[in-house]
Amino acid sequence: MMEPTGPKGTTVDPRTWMILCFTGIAAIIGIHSEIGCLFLFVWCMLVHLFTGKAGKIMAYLIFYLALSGITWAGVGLLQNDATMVLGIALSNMGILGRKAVIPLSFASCLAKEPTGSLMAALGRMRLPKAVGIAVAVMLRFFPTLGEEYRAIRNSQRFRGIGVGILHTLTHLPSTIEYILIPLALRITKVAEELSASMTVRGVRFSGKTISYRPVRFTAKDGILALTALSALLLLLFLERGGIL
Amino acid sequence: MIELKNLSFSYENANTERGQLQDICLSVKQGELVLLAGKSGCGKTTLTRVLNGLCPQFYPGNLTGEYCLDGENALEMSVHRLGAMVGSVFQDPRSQFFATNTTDEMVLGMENVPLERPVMEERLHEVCRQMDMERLLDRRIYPLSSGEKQMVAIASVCATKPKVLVLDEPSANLDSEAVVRLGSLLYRLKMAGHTIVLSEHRFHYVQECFDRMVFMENGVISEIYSREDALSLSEGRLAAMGLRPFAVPALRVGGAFVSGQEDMLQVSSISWTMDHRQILDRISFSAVRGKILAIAGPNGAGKSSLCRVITGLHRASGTVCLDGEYLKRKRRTRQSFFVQQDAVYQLYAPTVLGEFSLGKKETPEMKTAALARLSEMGLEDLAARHPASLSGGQKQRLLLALAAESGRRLMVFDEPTSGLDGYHMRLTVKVLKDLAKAGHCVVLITHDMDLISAAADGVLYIVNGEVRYHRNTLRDKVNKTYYQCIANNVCNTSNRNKD
Repeated sequence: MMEPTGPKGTTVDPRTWMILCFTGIAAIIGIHSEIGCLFLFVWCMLVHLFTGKAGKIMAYLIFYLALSGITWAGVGLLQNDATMVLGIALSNMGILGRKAVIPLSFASCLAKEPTGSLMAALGRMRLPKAVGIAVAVMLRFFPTLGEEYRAIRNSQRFRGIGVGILHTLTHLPSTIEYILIPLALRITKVAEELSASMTVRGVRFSGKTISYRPVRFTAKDGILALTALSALLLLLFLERGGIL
Repeated sequence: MIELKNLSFSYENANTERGQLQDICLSVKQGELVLLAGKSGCGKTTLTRVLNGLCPQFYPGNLTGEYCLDGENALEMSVHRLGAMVGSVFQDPRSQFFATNTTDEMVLGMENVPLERPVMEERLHEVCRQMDMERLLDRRIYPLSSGEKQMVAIASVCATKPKVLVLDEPSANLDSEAVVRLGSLLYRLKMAGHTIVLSEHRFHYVQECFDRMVFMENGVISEIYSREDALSLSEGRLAAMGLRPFAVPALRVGGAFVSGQEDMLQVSSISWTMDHRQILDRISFSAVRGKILAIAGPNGAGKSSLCRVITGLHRASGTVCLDGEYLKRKRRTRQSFFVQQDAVYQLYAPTVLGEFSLGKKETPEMKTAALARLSEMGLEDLAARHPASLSGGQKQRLLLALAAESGRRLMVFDEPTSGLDGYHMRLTVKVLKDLAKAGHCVVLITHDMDLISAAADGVLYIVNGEVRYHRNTLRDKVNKTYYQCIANNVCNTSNRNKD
């Protein structure tokens, strides 16, 4: 028989992931040099390493290297007038993609936090409950969209609708129609039923609520947040000073 | 506890002149368990929505009459306050989740009451123990099976211990064991003084504890039966009312299923892992042309995953042969037709008739054949309608017609009778039997014992991704106790045949 052991909190406070995410956004806007971006990426991977998310580092690294390759190829194509447009597209894609991976990796960690912890953390920040509900519903809908999209594509295989890349590209308008219409119908139904379920369970009630999961901004969270801000300021200083 | 007097309701923008509920008079005492019964579309769901305040506060419409709850005028209460007194479990387990984690979902109602953290903790573990679902604590919701999701939804509501509990077909996705546990949970809640209103098509799990059965037709309460009167209704009478029988299905399986070279579908050593978890473990079985095979087992056993592998949706180790020919994954998809639970994302054409020529060039022969299929399913008048405008049952019948017309050798149906009343269940059984008779190999994934009992020629029982037994359905002798064996998964005969 299982005995109550007390609700589990999270190892990193959701507010810390938010700080890291916003710092990441500020950093990619403020830092422009290649070497500065590389340092940012290294810092981002170190954060993941020390917060127990090391499992994803290899995937991020491969992604970063692949995008570096695309940038390099794009820059190569810029030399020729005929391929300049493609070169611009590829190099921009590579540069923006490498930058975006930093805040997105933190956003992904935030999205994986339990909904209760997230709501409680937002509540502690004195944000209106509606903000917490909106964020939670948004996070809930990402996997729903993926699940429904996969279900639609799987069903299409049995209905004789090609789902391969070639078929999709050669029949783009009909493919989009066959995906969007059932997806819209299904998502509308899910949204309506979810809203009904939330309503009867008092989620939209604006009175006092008690979070089941304790959220604590610990010393570890403080260090992570301070490190993030320090890294940003240091890189900005070095870049503006012409050192990077 | 509940007093409804001359209550009528019609949805805003409803396209019927008759209201969805008409002149409903019903009084339910505290601690009573009332069963709402009737064909699909008779108004059961609307009545549950009135009880929990969703109609008209969430679903706008015209409501007249009186509704008193625990001596108070419920029509003047806010939906949040009403929601705290009336706990609701909805029909579709996939669309009622707010959280992404099971524990967060189960405590959600308690957080909003709000209850103190230790109380939440105690109630959470109490309800999980009662429903034997501790294993589902702190799990991600999305990878769970429909039945597991439904259990989480039920636990979430029961943990708040509302005065009144309104459940809309809670057993539709549950396995036999979970249904039995749900029955005992409802019994305990009733004994503790909770009032329960249960809208259901499957009654057998509450036949020992319900007090009255309210039979509805076209938005009207036609008859209210006491428990004794309801249980004495003959099967013929229940069938005429469009209901399923009260008794547990008289299902008996036995005799070793002997695989042969002539078997149409031969599955060997299928293994599949997802997220480092072994979902299927060396599963082997065969299925015969012209027969119906039911794949049964507890929620999360791997039934749907197995069928996804067979039909080529998932890559897995092992082999699948059709008519003796080894088929690679893509060819399996081309040779099979998999009808999933939700019809919405399986229909794409602008008209019902157009569904038959989707992705092909329409020919006069094709059109004639399609019209004949529609006629068979009673859908001939709807040929020009948009598929999205059909009712759930009509969509399901259209998919059955499409499956039949596809000419594929292997047909797989995932819970084809989930949420269907007795009348539509029998109709589906007839169509499935016709498909089998036409030479197709029909595979059903189902928890519905009524369906297995009525349609299946064999049962493949899976537990934790492994075959527990594969046996033939015996219809010559009636033996109720075997159903209990399946429910409790302790039948000796099945263990002997373990692969």
